Amino acid sequence: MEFPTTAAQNRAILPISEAGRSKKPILTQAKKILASGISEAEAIERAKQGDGECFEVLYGFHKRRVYSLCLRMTGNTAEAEDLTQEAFLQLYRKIATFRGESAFSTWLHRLAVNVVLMQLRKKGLSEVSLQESLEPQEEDGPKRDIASRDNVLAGSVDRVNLERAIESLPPGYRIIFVLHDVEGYEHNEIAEMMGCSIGNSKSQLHKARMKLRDLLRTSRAEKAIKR
Amino acid sequence: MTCTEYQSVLPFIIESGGSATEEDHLKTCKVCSDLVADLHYIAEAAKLLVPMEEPSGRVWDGIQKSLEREGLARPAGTRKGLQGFHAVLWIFAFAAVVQFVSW
Repeated sequence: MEFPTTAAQNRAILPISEAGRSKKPILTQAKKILASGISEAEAIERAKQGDGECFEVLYGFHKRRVYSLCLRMTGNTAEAEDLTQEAFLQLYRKIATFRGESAFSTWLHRLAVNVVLMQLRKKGLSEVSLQESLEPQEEDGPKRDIASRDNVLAGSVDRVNLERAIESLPPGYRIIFVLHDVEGYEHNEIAEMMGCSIGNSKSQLHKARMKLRDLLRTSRAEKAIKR
Repeated sequence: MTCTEYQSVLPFIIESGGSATEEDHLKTCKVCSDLVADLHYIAEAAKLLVPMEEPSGRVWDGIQKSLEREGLARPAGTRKGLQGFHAVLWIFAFAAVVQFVSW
């Protein structure tokens, strides 16, 4: 299977197989390619040349990471699936423009982040959250009482609790936290993507961490009571 | 320096480190040092989160359908079907030409 790399090139319409269906045990062409031990670099080059099966191979390589990013940023399964779909559709359309100046995963990741942010802007969520976060809130203030009453969190938080706590963050906090602490973007990159200042990014990240601290402490206290 | 003063600048110094005054406060204040330890712990724990979730088959189906709708791809299986159909057409055309010439 092949697919066109640019509009000017031959627009032969070719079929896409069902290799992307993760639960179907059909050995498709894409899976055969994968089984042949093709490297990601080869798959990228062949996909750029119009090899559709290699596009499916790339989907297989990256679907988990892209979907996890979308899920963590939105906190919603259906929305994350829609955004994953949109990210790979954009990849299909833009892969010919990938020049290898950065790692493919970095490039695809950035593309996916932009897809999510664009969707959130459409919904107006991030703007609302950013405005909210700029307003001083009582909960954002120093918490001497809690800090002096309990021990530090270290060693008491597991992955599931942390994932749940991130999911329950307000959208604006969640996005910055995921981008910085989970995905490893720098504040200047986040500021550029979000259209805010670096200071705002730092401030919002701090509030997100403070909120997570509260959530994790509350969760720990509730568990202690149940025991 | 008070805790309130320290915590008001904390978002901007937590990664880079603060001034001597701020560092002194951190060393001597249990409240602020516990807070900073927690925030570092959360940031470190977040780095360890790996992509665990896998999208359902619905995602790939959606990609296929969108590409088909846009005319960039066509449903699986149609290629061979069309190739066979084209072959039959060629046979018919060839037979018609032969018949026409012999007639």
